[in-house]
Amino acid sequence: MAGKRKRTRLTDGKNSNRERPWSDLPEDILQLIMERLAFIDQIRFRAVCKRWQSIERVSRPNVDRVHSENQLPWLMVFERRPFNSYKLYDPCRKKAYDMDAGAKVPEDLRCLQVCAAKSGWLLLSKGHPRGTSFFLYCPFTKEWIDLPVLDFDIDAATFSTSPTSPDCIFFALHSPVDAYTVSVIINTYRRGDKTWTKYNFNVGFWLVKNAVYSEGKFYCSTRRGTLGAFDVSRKDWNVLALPGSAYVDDPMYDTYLLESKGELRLVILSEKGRWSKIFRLDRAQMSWVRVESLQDRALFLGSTSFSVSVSDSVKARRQIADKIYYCREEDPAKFYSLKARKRYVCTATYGCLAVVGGKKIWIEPPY
Amino acid sequence: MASSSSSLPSPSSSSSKKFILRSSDGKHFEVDEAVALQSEMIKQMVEDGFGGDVIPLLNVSSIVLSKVIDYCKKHVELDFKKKMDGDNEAHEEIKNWDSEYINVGVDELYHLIMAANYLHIKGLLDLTCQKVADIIKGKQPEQIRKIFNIENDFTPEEEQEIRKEHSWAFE
Repeated sequence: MAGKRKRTRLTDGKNSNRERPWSDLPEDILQLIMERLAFIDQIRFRAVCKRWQSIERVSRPNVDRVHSENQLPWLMVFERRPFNSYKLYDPCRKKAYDMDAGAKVPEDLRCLQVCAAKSGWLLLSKGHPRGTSFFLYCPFTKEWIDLPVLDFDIDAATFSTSPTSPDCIFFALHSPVDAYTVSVIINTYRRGDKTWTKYNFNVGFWLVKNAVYSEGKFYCSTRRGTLGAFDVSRKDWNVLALPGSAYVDDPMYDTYLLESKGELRLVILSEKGRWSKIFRLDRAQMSWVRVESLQDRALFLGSTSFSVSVSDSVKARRQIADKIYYCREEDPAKFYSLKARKRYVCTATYGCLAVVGGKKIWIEPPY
Repeated sequence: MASSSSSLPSPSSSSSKKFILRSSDGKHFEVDEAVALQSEMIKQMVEDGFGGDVIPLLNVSSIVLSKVIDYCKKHVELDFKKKMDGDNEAHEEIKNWDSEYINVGVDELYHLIMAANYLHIKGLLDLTCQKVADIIKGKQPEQIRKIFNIENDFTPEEEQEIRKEHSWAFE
């Protein structure tokens, strides 16, 4: 484009200002800048001037993932009324935002099952006699996407990467429990496909907790820590009987599976928050190894789970690292300190939203 | 032939071909072939059989061009070093040199972006666009406008509409 010829010298800044050089940057350059902005900065970028507004948002920006990994998840609270309103709490800026999904959301958000969260998106499901409906919802932008209906019930579901990416794979697992059959039904779906693809395996797997994607495999664990893995490319399912695993005497506990820095972690947390056991998967031995400390990391557990590294630059490091934060339905959001071996309500980090009524989940803001 | 004086461990011997670049204000710059070919635009010209002695760069002033040549020279040198010393060390050095190099005011940054775009120097374009993104990061629209001297051309109604849609991003 020879349309904008710049002959001004570097020192002639005042002259070039009249030509509005920054707002009139070529579109492909504005696009390159947009691609390097995290989600919230993209929204602000588009609010600068009309020309910049004409640049579309980018769903998978090329931003420093390490930085976003240091970001604490936000707390989302589904309110009872008004209909389809919710609150988001940003722990870094210590601010709560009132959100109203309004008419953009065709379902009652409170009645949907939260299966997983990634890149600011929630995977939601709703069981009905014909099977299960799936939806994607971004609580920050209020975008809503319908996924194809699945003809089965599900025990756990998740997705591999940002759901706006064409590489994203959705995964749903069902382990029917009846006296005569022992099987696992796995369904996968890629955006653009018409329907889910079904795989059937004759391997028992009961009391399934959440599903997690890590390096080409979807993992599920049972309440006791038995691990099952579905290999996406080989399309096979293996149940790994894990020695030295997570058996505990106290029957009142919850089990969570999550990924942390490319490792799988299993966390068993007593219902009353009196004790916890953390394991990491040793992939060579295929066994769970007990971990005593999280060091500079913090875990956020619930229907959606995250592992966060609390960097030196975060002032609140001492306050946040080596703790397990958890939400259970409508209960106050709490944390368990591995050092103190005690649990606390996390109002210091999540303000009064930690204790208001309503279902609570963790969610990371979009990149 | 000492004109392109630099601390090169001699990736290009004195026998290497030279190019002469002419800036928009008529100044001449003699550079090694490897340095000139950092520009995809010049590379394309050469591949297309450009036979002249002097490559005229109508959109780039001498001040900007000399800064751009600094970038290309350093990167030829560092690419060579990378081949010799292995990736890690050179990678760190490139990062440090780049961050020092791009520590400029917004006017200069603008001219570097336009030059990198015109000359098709991908590394420099990435570096300059990343710098703009780093400046924008974490700032509100009015701060961004002030830094880049951009006029707010939204009507109050339009602005209100934008803010309403994503109110949480503007608090």
